[in-house]
Amino acid sequence: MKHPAQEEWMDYLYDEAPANERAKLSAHLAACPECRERVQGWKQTMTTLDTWQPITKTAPAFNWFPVIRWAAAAMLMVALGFGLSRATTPQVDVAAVQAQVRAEVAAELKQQMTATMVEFTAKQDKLRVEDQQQLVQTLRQMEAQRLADLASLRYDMESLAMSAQLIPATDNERLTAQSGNSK
Amino acid sequence: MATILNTLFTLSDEQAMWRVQQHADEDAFAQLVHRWEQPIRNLCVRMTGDLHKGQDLTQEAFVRVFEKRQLYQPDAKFSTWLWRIALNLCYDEQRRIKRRSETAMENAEGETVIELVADDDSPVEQAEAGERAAMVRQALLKLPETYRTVLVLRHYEGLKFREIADVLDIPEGTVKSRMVEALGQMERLLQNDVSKI
Repeated sequence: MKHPAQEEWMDYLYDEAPANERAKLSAHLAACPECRERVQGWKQTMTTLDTWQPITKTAPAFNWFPVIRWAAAAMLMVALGFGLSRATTPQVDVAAVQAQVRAEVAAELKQQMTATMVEFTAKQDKLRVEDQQQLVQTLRQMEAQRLADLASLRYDMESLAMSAQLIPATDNERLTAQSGNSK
Repeated sequence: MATILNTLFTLSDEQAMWRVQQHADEDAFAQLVHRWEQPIRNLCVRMTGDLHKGQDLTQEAFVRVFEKRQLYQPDAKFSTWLWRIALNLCYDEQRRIKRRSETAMENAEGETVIELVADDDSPVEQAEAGERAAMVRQALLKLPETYRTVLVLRHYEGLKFREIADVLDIPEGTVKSRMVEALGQMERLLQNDVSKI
């Protein structure tokens, strides 16, 4: 009688043999006292193995949190300290945070406005000085022009005055002549 | 309906591990630990014969899973990878014990492993059951590592021979041959222990 390989019996004992194989092995087992004894010995050992169930009543549950904690800590170390402090704060006083943020924003705005005003004032002063300089220059030019115009006018007036002194005599003479003719 | 929804929204081991790998997803990792903590602890306790060491190794196994998450191949079965990690830790532990000339038997005789026996048994039956369990544990620790691994994975952890072959990266036929040898050696070891009693 040809006996099945011992490895085949492992499939049989652990219910991994396909149905047709299992049927063949069962048939062989029924007919072969040698294999029956062998398989019976294995089954006995397997039953004895089952008596050890080392799951204890006192075994504490596996604490896997350190894994997560370490991983989270590593990531948080890389992250900003700001994030760390906020993440680990159990409760946040919203009103206090709002007031703090408001104060910080106000201070920041004030600082920015002061800086802007200083800069604006400096620019205005500079512009004013430039305007004044421009105005003085313009006034000087106008004064020079005025003086030039005045000189020109005086010249013209004097010229006119001289002409006037000449014209009346001529006119008198002509008028006298006309009146004499009419008489 | 609830079952269908659970099925739809429950991550497979491989999906969960992918999330752990890609996003260091703590929820996915917690799911994996929840599913596999007990089987891995059983393996480590049975391989070392020591409850505390088994628990430490289990924790170390999950730490290693997280640390080595980038090495996980997404097309591979997660459990195969996890069994392999846990087994390697058990082997390392056994080697450390040998180096320290500290036998697992000595540990097994301590108070670290408590055998679980049925509560409805009488005190005498409980004592006998405890004795048999201790005998099995001690016999198992005498078994060469190669055979103990196959026996623990198949008999106690319920892995198929094909799965064991994948974990150990050996042919399925070799796994079965080792199982034959493991059962044979255990039979002899147990008979010797019984005869001593």
